Amino acid sequence: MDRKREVEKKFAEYLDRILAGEEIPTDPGMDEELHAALDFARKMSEIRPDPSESYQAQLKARLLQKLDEQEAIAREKQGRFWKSIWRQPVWQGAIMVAFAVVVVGLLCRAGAFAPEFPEATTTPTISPTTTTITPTQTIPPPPTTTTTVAPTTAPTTTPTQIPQEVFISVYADTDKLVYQPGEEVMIGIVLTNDGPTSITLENLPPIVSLMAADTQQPVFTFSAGNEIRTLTPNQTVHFILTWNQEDFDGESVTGLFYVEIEDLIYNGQPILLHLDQPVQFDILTEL
Amino acid sequence: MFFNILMNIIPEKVARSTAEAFTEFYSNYLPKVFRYISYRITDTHLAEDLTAIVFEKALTKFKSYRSEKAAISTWIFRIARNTLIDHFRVSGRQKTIPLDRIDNDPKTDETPEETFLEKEESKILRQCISRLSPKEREIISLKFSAEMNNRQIAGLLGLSDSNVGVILYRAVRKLRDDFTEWHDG
Repeated sequence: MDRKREVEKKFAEYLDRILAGEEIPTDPGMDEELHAALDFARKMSEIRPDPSESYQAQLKARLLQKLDEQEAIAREKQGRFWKSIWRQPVWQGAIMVAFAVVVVGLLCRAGAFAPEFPEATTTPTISPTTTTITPTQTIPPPPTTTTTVAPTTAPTTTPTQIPQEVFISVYADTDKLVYQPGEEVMIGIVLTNDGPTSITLENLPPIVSLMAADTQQPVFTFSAGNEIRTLTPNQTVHFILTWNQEDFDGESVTGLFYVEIEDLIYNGQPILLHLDQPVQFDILTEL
Repeated sequence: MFFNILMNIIPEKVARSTAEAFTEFYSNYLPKVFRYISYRITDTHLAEDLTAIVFEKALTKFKSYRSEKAAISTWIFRIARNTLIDHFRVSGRQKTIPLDRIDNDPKTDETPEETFLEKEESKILRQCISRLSPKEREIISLKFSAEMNNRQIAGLLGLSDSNVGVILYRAVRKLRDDFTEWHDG
């Protein structure tokens, strides 16, 4: 009974390896039934039915068209929702009140309703284009305060002068850690906009180099793509690259490799992409 | 494996446009779902129609898929399985239709003789599978099409791992005997 269980267990284990494309070494001591079942399973995996290419292409086109229609309907529904809200007098009133509050608030912040002091009329007004207020320059005090105007007030008057900060995190991985010679290597790259504003990235996917661990030299490089993507905050973009294990000269290579991602270009400036975890994989040497 | 996590987050985050994410999902799973259905439905054209239904259902639910609830392979094969159950319910009972309409595109690296032989063997194999019990057929289909491990199959079918292992081994041996008989006879 135990032997039977053992054979079934071994079969399941070997079958998973066969389906993953691994070669099972022939073991002369292997149970005959198990050996025959594995041989047949291998044959089954080789003659599995595949959908025809024409069918795949037609179905894909049909589904994508359907997806387009679905998204158009969703957009229309969303538009109808906002229109229906705007038609209701209660909401119209509420939106007008909210708008008025925002306008008044902005005017207050800009000092439109601040009391005027005779001294203040003689001092230069704060203007983003003409005046720079230094820490030593003081504005005559209003009746209730004696605050010195420091440069920290400047950002509110000159927002365009703040350099826009870009935060991109990069994550990469391969579909396996160890590959047989000739097996396709899949490399997944995920870029995330970790910043507070939307950014538009060009030349995606970025340049990806596969480096030999022993020489630290690239054996193959994927050129940058020509896609342009706008990523909203927290939005992610991913790419899958496949490599046939051939180097620049078309020669098959083996050994330990790691992935390097080159800089991205944003507004004409390079952004350094740094992988948090090294991504390594091994290509076994053919026996 | 991190890569699996990465593949799982793709549909949920809809990192690129939904169309791109769906296209990738389609490329990964269409052959597997088609094989799964082909093992259960011997008529290739019907298998194609049912595969299309599975992906139409997946498309409508694609945005609501959550990877924390189920792996995407489990999700799509659950849809495929339910589609087959619906089909069998509507058609009354499971039918086996003679395989006279297989017209898959030939593989480019094979000679016409090899292609013919492979088609013939594939046809016989599917006939043999159709003679298995429903549970054996289900497990064989999931194993050889979805390439699920026994634990995943057990989870999907509500069986124990060891039970799946026993049925699988028995089914492959039965198939081998049946196939050899057809092939040689």
